[in-house]
Amino acid sequence: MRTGRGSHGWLRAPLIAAMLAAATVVALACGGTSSADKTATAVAGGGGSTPASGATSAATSAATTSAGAGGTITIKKGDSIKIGISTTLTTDNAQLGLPIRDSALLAIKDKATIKGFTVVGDPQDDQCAAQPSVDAANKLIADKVAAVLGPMCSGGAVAALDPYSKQNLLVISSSATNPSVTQLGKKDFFRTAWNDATQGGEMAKYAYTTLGKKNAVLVNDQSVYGKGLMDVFKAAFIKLGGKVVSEEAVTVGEKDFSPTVTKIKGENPDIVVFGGFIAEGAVLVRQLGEAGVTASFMGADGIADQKWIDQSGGKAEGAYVSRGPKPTDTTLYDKYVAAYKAAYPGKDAPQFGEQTYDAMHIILNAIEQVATVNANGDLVIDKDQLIAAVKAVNYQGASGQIQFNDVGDRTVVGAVNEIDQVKSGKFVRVQ
Amino acid sequence: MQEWIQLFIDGLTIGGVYAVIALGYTLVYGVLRMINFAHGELFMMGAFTGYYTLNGFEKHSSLNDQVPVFTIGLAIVLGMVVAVVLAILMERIAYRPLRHAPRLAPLISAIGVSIFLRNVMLRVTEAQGKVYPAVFPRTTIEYGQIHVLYVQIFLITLSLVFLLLLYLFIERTKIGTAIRAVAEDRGTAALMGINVDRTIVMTFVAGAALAGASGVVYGMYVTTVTSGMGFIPGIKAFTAAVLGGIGSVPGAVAGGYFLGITESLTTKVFGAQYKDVVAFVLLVGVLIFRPWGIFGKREDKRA
Repeated sequence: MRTGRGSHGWLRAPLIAAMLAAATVVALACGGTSSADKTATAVAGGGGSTPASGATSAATSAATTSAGAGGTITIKKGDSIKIGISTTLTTDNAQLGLPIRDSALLAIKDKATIKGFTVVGDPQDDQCAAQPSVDAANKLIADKVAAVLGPMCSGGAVAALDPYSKQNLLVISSSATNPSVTQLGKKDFFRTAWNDATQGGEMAKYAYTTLGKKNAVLVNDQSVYGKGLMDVFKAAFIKLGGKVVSEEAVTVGEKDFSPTVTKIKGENPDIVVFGGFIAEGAVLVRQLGEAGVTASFMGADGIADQKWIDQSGGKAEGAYVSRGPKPTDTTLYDKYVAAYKAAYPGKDAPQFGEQTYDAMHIILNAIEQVATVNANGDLVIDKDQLIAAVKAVNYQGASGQIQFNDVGDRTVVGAVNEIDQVKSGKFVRVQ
Repeated sequence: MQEWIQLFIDGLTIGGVYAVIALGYTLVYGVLRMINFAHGELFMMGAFTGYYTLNGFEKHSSLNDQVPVFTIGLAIVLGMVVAVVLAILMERIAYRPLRHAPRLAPLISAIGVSIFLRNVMLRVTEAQGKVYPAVFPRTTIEYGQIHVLYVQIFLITLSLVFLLLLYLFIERTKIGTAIRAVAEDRGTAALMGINVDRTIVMTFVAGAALAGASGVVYGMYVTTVTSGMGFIPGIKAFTAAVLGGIGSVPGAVAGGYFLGITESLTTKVFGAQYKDVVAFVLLVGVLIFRPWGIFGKREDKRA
């Protein structure tokens, strides 16, 4: 059917231009992480972060901070203490984000009141992307939250830490792992997930030394997290003596990566390493398997979830997945898993769940520690003291011992990088 | 060489999907001069209908093993039905009231419908990707380095069948003639006794049926379906439709295959991170020299 001139023919050219422009805007908004990616890499270029052991020295500075210099949060008598939760509630990445919210709410349930004030969670959708994370930040600031758990993704954190730090608001992310996030120099930011500088190095070591892999193809999802993790892996893998045959990328939201798979097949690597999230990771491992690629597959904490195995059509069998910090003694972890399953029947404990649960407990403990009730019966929280309390923390949680270094990164003590292998459709811990 | 053939087949697979979705854009554009941005979501709803149908059979019967032809056929038909019903509703609720509004209004309304449908499914699925039961055997034909899944061949073939059926529908049926007439000149068509409203609905129905059915087969191919799965194919198919010449049926088909194959070959040459760049540079290039697209008809200059 061809269209003739029609009575509105003269409108066509500008209208199509407008529609194309609209489509481009929508497409860009969707893949918005890629533009943030460049900023992040530029920032990350400043030098590798070294998890220092300065955590304990910070403790003393807490006491000397003059009250009120960084502002206070006052919660009127009868109101509740709101804790912001910035995570991904919509888009396909919500399969990681919703369980983060649930784990955070579970921790709040453990500590439902502080000094007679009810604690409530305030979940906002950050869509794992830069601008929505800033929007979530503005909403949470307007909601007058006492502290924030999140943002979920590194790309979002890089963008959203600015508005938070202007308010001197305590922010703890349980899942934003890119090295650049703690290189922004925000004094109010901490994370209970390991910096990818740690995880990427651990993965490279395992692939090269333990598995004996020499030729790797790296695939990332063009997110700050995925690209950043693969960059760290690459550097560490080459340093160990391995060879990176090629670096590929996939587009978030697509469901067919067969051209990329065909290319990888031709390159004949002995391991394919992926930095990204569940949806794309499942498609990739399935299509690699179906194409007859026999190389081992290795992924990281972004896919370390049973849902990834379930969506992989049985092709994840034998794959290795790094899960981030796990304690050597799993008593507290097992307790958390039992609590999660009891609270959300029919659901498995999710990836990032224990780190989220710990992060929320650290926030609530710190509030309890520094909050005071004034003469009017209002609850007053000194922001500087709150941040100092978190900085000095030495918390024994479900994900192991948690201490922060002077840039807010979790230190590498009291936990090892867990690596699992998929056996008979389940994760089995091998390290 | 074999690798290039493989890439060509990969491109043909996704290109066929783009082509089928692009037809929906082009048909609606032809009669209404609007872009139905919710069209990709009809594809997604079709994919979910197929999942729920096949999963229902898997859980409550052994029909998937006994008569897979029947269950797959039924899934495709139901996928079509759901997409068609939704298309009729969206035309009635979101587009018809805006028929005489400024022409960007229905466009925004379409984006709204798209977001609405995506979030409804996000809610229904609780953001979980749903995995198709393995009704269609996931075995491959191997020839040297080339491997093709049977379901891939099914998808490629079905895309071609859909395209042929639509062509016959537009060219050989009475409704098809009416659609062409309304596309040509709505006012005159109405004067000739064509029920314009009904014809517009039929246009939506035709596009939706193709998108719904295609969604089911695509779902079987990619196995995991999510609420966001219609978005990127939707945008790509729109691009394909513009590339081929929006409003032109052969244009949409050619644009779809061209885009799919270009993307696939670009992945090998530049890497997948550049495939969209190459595709859009080509689009801009074509539009500079042929603003009406490859197959589109040149607009006469207005006196």
